[in-house]
Amino acid sequence: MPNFEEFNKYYEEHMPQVYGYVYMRTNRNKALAEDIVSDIFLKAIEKFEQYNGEKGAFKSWIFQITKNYLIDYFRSNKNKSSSSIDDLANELRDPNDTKQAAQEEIEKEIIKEAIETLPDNKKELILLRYFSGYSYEEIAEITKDNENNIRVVIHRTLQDLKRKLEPIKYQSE
Amino acid sequence: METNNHEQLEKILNSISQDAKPDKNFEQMLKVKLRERFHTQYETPRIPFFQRIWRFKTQITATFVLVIFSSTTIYAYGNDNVTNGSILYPLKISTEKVEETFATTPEAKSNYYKKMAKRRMRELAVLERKGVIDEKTIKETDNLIVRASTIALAVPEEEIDEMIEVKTVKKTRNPAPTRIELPMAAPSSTPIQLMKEIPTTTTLSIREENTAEKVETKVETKAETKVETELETEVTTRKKTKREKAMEEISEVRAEFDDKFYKRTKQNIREEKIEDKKDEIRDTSR
Repeated sequence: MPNFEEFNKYYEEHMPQVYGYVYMRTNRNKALAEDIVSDIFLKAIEKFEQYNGEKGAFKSWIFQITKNYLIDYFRSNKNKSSSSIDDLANELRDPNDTKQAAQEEIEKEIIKEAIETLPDNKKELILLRYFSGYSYEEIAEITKDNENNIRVVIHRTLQDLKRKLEPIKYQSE
Repeated sequence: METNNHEQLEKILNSISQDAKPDKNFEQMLKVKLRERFHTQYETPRIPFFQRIWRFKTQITATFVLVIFSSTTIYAYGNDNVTNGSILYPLKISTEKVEETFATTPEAKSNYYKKMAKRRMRELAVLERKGVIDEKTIKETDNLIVRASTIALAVPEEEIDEMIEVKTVKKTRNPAPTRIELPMAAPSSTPIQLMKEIPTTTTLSIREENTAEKVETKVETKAETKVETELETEVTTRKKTKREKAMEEISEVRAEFDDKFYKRTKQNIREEKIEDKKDEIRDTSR
């Protein structure tokens, strides 16, 4: 018979990672991310009886639920909002910001947008690594892939993201 | 340069990831919500399906019994093969008694007894095919027909949309005059031949056959002399009354019963033999 203490332990350990992943996947929509994360964990409770710790770690299990949920969600909500980098830059620009702070904000937005445009498999790895905070080993466990492959893909993806920053650097310089 | 770029990117990504941290309030609220759901799902004892059903065992049993009883009653009531001696016969009779309570008017009662008499006759036919003569049912059928006839007399004489023929017989009589009618003559006077025509009409109303009621008017000949009569039949139609219809139907049932079953009982056979014997003795003594 499942007990809540056990579930709560998993919740506290993995909720931030799930949230980070979902937050980035939903185009940084905080309200939407909160709703989706709530639904994911409620679903996890429903299926908690079926969870077998011997078969795999909780994080793999919860991320499987998360991915499936997001697939269904995006299938039924095909509208994606996207804004241009300039709009974002204007939105974030605070007159009181120093030039340095403004520059940093712009860079952040560029990277966020760049992440959004990544192919799904690469995006997933970046999100798991930098927004969920998992190690390569843990990511390999979640994605059921080879750790070395993951390292290579993440490295190459980072190269792509760096290139996105180049134009800004030249501008600031 | 490359390392710097890489470090910078790492820094940016880490910075972005700070935005992607959940709100503490949200975390707490979700925890509460999850606890409630967990309690509902797992900590409230889940009763197995059959156990849930078992809670309603009294209601289920009562419903089952009612269904079986109703089905059996309907079967027994409508089946002519359920006869006296069958295990379901008391149930059939009880159901008929309930039906009787709904017959409140003389017409309804008469129809009811007639219907029951027909039922008994169908049962007798079934028993006869099995080679059984059930005297009790025969007696009961007889009683039912008598009751139907008796109660039919109380049926109102309201007219219905059915016509009957009424035959009226007109009798024309030409009698010779009686002594009283003859005028007083002197002894020396010549005998008077009197052949007066004194028409006397007596109407005989004869109702249609097969009714229990017959009206007859006897015609008495006053004169001692032979009377020549002529009969004239007049046929008219009028509307039948409810009572007449009821009596007619009961008579049909009576006729059928007498023909098929009345003579079957031993007592009736015995009585018939006694009557035959009496007739024989009477004929011999003549």
